[in-house]
Amino acid sequence: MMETFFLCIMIGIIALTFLMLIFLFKGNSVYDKLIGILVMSTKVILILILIGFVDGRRDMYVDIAISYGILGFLSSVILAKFLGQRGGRKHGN
Amino acid sequence: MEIRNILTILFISAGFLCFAASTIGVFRMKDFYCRSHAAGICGSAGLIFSGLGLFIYEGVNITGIKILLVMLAVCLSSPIGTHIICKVAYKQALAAEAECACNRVEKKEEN
Repeated sequence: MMETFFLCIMIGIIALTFLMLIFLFKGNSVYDKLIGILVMSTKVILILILIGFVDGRRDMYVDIAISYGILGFLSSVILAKFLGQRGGRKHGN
Repeated sequence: MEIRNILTILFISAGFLCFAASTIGVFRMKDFYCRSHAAGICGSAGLIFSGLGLFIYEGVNITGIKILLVMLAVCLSSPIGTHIICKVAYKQALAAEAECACNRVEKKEEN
């Protein structure tokens, strides 16, 4: 019973992630795309843990979620730093 | 239906509501800064509720502690990420859009 509940929540969050993907391709400014990446990486962390809960081997997936969480955060910080020095000068490009 | 399952379902559905709210917020908000605020909700509130729900379902063992660790790590790092992105956006291109105090002062002088 609980597994089906976790499965429904996981499918719901995957749908939300695809919604964020559409937001990424909506052609707004570079900074909105960065915000989209940050939100999507947070969602993927929860999807990973829920996959672990659905198919039983939980501790492996939680480790993957920890490493993904840290790497996802690092990637968005480095992207923001890159935008800080060069590139993305004008709004909306 | 033990109390454990009921609590888990409550917490995780609350977390899912926060995720849905943040996604809708990112779509609906007009200003960039409101959008980044909506994105910040997802990183902290959504994960706190879901993490607590999963921790309750998992019980106090190694995996449960790791889930709390993930929750803590992301709850600390997602606001930092949003702050950096807003700072870069403010410095470079979106300073005029921000309705913060310094902009309001300049607008008063103009009209």
